Amino acid sequence: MKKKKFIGILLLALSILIVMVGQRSSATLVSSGLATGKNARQAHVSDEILIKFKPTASLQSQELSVSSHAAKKIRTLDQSGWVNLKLSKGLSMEAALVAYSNDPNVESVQPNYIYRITTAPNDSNYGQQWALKNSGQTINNSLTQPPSSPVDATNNPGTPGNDMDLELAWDQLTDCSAVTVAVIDTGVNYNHVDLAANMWNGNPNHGHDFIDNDTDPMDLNGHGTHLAGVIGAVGNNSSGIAGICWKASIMAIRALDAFGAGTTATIVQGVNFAVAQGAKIINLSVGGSGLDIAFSNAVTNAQSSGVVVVAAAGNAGSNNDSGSTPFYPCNFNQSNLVCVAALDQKYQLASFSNFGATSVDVGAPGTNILSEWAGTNAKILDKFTFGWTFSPTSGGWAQGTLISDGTPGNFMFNPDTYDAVNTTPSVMYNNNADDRVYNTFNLAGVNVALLQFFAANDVKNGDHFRINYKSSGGDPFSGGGTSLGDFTSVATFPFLDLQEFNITSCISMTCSIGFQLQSDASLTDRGVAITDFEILTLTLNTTSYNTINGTSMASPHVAGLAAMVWAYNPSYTYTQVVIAIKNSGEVTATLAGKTTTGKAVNAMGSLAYINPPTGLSASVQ
Amino acid sequence: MTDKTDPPLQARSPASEQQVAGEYIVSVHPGTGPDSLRKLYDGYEVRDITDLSGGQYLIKLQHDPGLAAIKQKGLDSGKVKSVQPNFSYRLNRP
Repeated sequence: MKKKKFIGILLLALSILIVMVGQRSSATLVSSGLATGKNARQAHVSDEILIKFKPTASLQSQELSVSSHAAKKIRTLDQSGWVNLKLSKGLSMEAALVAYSNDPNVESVQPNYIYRITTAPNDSNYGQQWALKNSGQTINNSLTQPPSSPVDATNNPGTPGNDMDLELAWDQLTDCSAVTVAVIDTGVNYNHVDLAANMWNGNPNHGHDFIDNDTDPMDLNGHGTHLAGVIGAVGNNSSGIAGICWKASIMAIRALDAFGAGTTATIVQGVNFAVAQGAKIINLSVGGSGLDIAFSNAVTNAQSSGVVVVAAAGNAGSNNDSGSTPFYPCNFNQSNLVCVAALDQKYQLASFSNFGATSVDVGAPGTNILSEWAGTNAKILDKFTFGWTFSPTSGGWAQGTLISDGTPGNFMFNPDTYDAVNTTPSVMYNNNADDRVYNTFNLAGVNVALLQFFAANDVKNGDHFRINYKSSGGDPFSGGGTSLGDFTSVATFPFLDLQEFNITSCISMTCSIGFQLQSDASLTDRGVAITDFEILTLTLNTTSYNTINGTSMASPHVAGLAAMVWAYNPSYTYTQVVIAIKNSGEVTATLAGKTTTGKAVNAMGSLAYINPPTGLSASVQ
Repeated sequence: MTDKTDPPLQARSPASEQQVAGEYIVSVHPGTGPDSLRKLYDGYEVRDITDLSGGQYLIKLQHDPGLAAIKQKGLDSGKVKSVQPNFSYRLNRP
């Protein structure tokens, strides 16, 4: 008796151990035609119910109850009184539930719900991908670039269940490779171990480079690789992460350089290339505030070819609808465009995310997003206190502390008594000067080196502030040096402007970088003040990852989802894909009045919004 | 070492709407190609012309007279439909 009772309890416990499809506070999984998102009814066998007879109901009473309601007993579940009935044709589920609820012999009645083990990939870092499965996990900084960089602490950990329901969707589809997704960005490290198998099989290197105008879209920044990983990192390969699509076709288009900078021309060329080469989805995690007609024409060209364009909403925390702060391409109005805001781990609108009740469509995860990176980043921060060679040793360049934005900082300046206070400078640089200062840096082994600093620069016409480098070391102004910049007739004080230079050609053990102030015999001015001198490096490899924030990260979640929807129903038009994504999401309070749909995208909802292809089974064995 | 107090030095972000100096995107009428554009803007010393497809070309000029002049010259020729700057775009991470 004890054994039979144990078995009964075990059977009942099985219904708890096996994960209920879509179970959270309300069920999600649907069958064809039912509601989507959190409000969906749970799937059930359409012509079966379960009833539990009262302990006092005799065997004869039970048989009468079954036959009188046009049903047939399939099996007895256990000794507690539960039986599984098959309904006769013509008796609806709803009618049967009502009838047995009113039966005096019946204690409980319910549908025979469908249970399914959800599909979770075995990728080693899947546990950090809250966007795909939010278990309330804390996202850590074990995988960041540069290493140990902090992650976003806001709403970290988040709320279990605030995710895209990918595990449910993966039970339907994991292979989106029939739908090529173009990532128009800084390129993609197509050799990354978790991406290589999922790159578009076209051109010699899986895409094109419109920065250097060649066929090699290798990513020299990292950003584009990150987006590609969100869309299509190889899934279930016991390493790395899982993409929205475990199998994918990613087209790499380099339209942004190592700094992440591009132009209308590079982006337009990228869009047109993607369309011409058969991409069905384009991800654009870049934008700007200027009304760019050529850019809009490119989006229209994509629309004419039936291509979906997914774009990031922007990271200024502003309202794209305000009129004073539009953000394109989101503020274009082509119907093939889906604009994406960023959600955090508690499905709140991320503080940095732009929004817009008429121009931003949906929300998707965009904080602490872990994905592939192009390589290892490092930073050399030089405070001018060591290793600099001055010529002359006094009267020209000097280093010291000045205050900018209310904070003391390390500066290099000329003259050595630089006036950082008075509107009319009390001290000016010397006439007939050839003042130089330089330092030497070991950049051996890296693949990309970027120099940046801030400078207030006031030199008269005919005088020059120059920046040079020399890979063989020594004075970069004495033969063999390469000019990075030559400023004359400028006056920027009190503003410190960002100066950026790609010094990849200087990569060596002895890269010298220097500043020169050369003046003639005529008028002089305040001079130059330089601060925040940094060299940023990237060493390419095939195994790096990074955890970063942005609507840039939210956008590829939707691009990957679009690929999933289209692979699930290949006969769809772009309009149907866009509608499925926009309309099937979860109503999310933080997006109300800030997006056109008020919804966070939902993978299972998007797949279920359409009639699933025939041949798929939804019942458990 | 020189210490200063209360200076107004302040970092300045790059202007959000920037364009590449001397570069324009020209949309042309059918039948107008790069050779015609090169002749049209020869006075500004054309450095390069790139076909962006869709009847659009990126022209790079050594001597930049400004958008208004480029646009007017193009419209007056009957060969050009529109001219715009080649805007700069930049990743903006939060």
